[in-house]
Amino acid sequence: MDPLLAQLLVGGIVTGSFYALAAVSWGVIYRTTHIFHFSHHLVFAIGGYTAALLTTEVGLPWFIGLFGAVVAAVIAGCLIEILLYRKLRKKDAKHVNVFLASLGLATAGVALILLIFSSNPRPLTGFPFTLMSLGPAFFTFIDLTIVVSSWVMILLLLWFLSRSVYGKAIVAVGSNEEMAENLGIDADRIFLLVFAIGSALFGAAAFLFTAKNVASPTMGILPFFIAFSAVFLGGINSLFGHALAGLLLGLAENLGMLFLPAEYKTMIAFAILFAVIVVKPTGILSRGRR
Amino acid sequence: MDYLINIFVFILIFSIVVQSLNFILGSLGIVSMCHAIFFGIGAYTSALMSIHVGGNFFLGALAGFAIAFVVGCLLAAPSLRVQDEYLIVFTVGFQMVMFEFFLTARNITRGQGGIPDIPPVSLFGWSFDSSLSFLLFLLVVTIIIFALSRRLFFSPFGRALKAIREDESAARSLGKNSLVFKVIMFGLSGGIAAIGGSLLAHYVSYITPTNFSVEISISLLVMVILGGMGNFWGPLVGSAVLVGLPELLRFIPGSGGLIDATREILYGVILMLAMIYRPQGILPEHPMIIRKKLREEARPDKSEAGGGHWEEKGRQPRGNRKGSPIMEVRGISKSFGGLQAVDDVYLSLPEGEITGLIGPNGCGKTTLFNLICGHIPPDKGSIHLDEREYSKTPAYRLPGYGVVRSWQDVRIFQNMTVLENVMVAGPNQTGENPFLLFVMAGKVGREERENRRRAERYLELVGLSQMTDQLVKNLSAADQKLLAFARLLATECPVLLLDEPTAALDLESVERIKKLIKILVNQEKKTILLVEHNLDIVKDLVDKAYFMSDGKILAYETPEELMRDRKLTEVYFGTD
Repeated sequence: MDPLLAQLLVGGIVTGSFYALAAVSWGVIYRTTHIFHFSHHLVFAIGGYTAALLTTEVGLPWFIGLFGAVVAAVIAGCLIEILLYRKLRKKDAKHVNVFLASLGLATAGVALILLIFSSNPRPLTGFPFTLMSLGPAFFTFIDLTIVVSSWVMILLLLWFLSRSVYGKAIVAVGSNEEMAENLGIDADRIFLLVFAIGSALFGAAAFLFTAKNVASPTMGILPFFIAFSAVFLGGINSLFGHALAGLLLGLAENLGMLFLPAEYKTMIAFAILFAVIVVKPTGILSRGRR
Repeated sequence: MDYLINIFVFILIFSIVVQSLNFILGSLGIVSMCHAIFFGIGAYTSALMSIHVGGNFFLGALAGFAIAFVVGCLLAAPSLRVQDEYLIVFTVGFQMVMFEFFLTARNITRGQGGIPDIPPVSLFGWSFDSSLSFLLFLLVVTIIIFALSRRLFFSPFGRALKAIREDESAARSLGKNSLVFKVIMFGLSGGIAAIGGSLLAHYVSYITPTNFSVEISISLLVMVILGGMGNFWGPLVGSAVLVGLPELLRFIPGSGGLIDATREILYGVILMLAMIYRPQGILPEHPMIIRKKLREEARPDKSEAGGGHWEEKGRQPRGNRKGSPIMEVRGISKSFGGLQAVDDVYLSLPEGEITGLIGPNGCGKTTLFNLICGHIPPDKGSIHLDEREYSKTPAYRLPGYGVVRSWQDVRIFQNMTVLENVMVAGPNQTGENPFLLFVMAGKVGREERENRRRAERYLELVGLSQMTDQLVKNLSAADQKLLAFARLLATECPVLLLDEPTAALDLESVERIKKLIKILVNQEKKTILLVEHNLDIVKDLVDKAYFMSDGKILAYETPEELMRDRKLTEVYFGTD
């Protein structure tokens, strides 16, 4: 195989796995609560900063950084649900208004991080950086971790949703909240649960991202954009579709570099999204209309 | 002095762009995350045109408007076809991609450095190069744009937008092709924002991509919301406060980055607090009406509802055709998975009569009703109105064929006035075309007066003439149902499909509705299909009824005959 192609393919799988995880983390929230949770990227930044500060500034080992990132993300996600979204639901706010409030929180939150930590990038230290190879393609231990752990988490989530009682309750609330409540399911608790799950996954993703790159205030915006694009691309109701679409976007972004300069990454994702929605409005993995 | 002029210029430019976004966020209730890009398209187009082609302001502004209009329509059409949320996705993507384009397409936009030395606005050899002369020029342009926007905002077009915002399905059932309205409005909005961009480019004479970043898009949203979504003057207030306020931040010592971050926090907090505590903004959409609470003594005598003031004759039925079928359903079938919900049904509605459709729960009534309303396409069979086939036609075309439906859950437009609710239903309004609105102003005005006269007549007929200026959400449940009837009448459709019109009403209100339905048939010469659970109502109103069970029509008889049939009553009441 052509070494460049092999390298881009490996890069695509790594990026794609990360995007798949990001997509599923937002998708599980969106399809259950129908909240366009824009602050998800703030949650990502909080996770990334926690990981970077715990390892680099405090000097703790990387797994504490991972733990910290997940916990911080879960706390942030749940607080947003309890203090903002729940309050808006009580006031019967329209979907658009909930989105706008979320947008406001994300804007203010990112600016606050910038104000406190400045725009200097924060690295994560202590995670092994071993270089490895597969035929002509090179990758690092972090890349391998990203691929393996992303898919393990995605499969665990799918298994949890289809097998456990809570998983079934989540699916029930997502398909008909009112009916689920009549059957004795507390929708508020289920909402909180999916915010915890989605934020935990995105927190873990933020740890992986920071280990590979660095933490910065706007670090979450691009992964978040890809995440919700993948959700709409894959079809709102299929978590597996979200993961698949995330992988597809990662591959396309990397293989696109064969023809286009690297700056056009976002353009490729957007072009794919646009093309698919024009041809098949409900996404690649959906049956019928809506 | 120049400092103050500078602030005024920015307030006016922003108020134009914010007004354009108000049409999307306020009138349509949809979020656009990329209005800074439309703003940028206008600025870059004007800048490039004035440098390469020569600096006539109107040429550049017009070109910017046209490009932004086309781009806006292309962006909105595929996404809004699915669901409003898709537009958020598309506009966020478009904002990121175009910002990247401004930054990297060096041979067009000159990249990060931007375009310097854009000449000032010149018109007929007169150059507006001092800030004061530009301010005067801008003032004139802003007044013109606001005047045109005002025309659009308070037109039949603007009214239809609000109806679509309040309830898209209901608006479609009244004959509004909601997708076309939304897409055209999004294009127009992009175009107006682009004009703001042209003004900016000529004023600051130097534009860079950072002028059109996502932060600007968000700040535009904040300005609309703070001013008041859906209020025409909201954008002026919103931009005055939010362009003016950050200027004060300048006097706080600190670096530029600190000021930027503080401003972002301010915007974010305003957004959140506004959504929680005051979503209507500084100027609410209906400032006076909301406070004018409905009082009992202001109400007309209830017994007058559907009352006898109605002297004018309704339309004449064509010839003496009472009783001959006006609508026919021929061999229609629909199955969901393995379930045959409607099985080879034939049905006809005699003109000028009330035909009932009854049957036990789960018999397929609702599916049949939805098939007739065009909400789901039939697997097989056809529906004819006056021998014109309309099966497999989208719901919004039905009123064009002369058929309109009611909704069991009423679905009138809550945040509009009673009169607007009826007027929006008027058929073939020239003023719903935003182009003809300006070109054929006289015709639009005449139609609008006629439409208003009709709407007031229908409101009098249903007994709501005292409440024309009330906001619908202040009305009682029964009055809302009566209003829904006025809205149906306003479509001028000869065939009305009524879905349980008396559901969830008290006895007195049921009597009012029954009386009204009788008037509709006897006086207004309407043909009615009535889907109803309540056999008493069927007995009082219906000439003949279809009895449906398990997807099939079992009988077609007068209600008395149906109730005498032991076999049918067993099916209906489930006795053993």
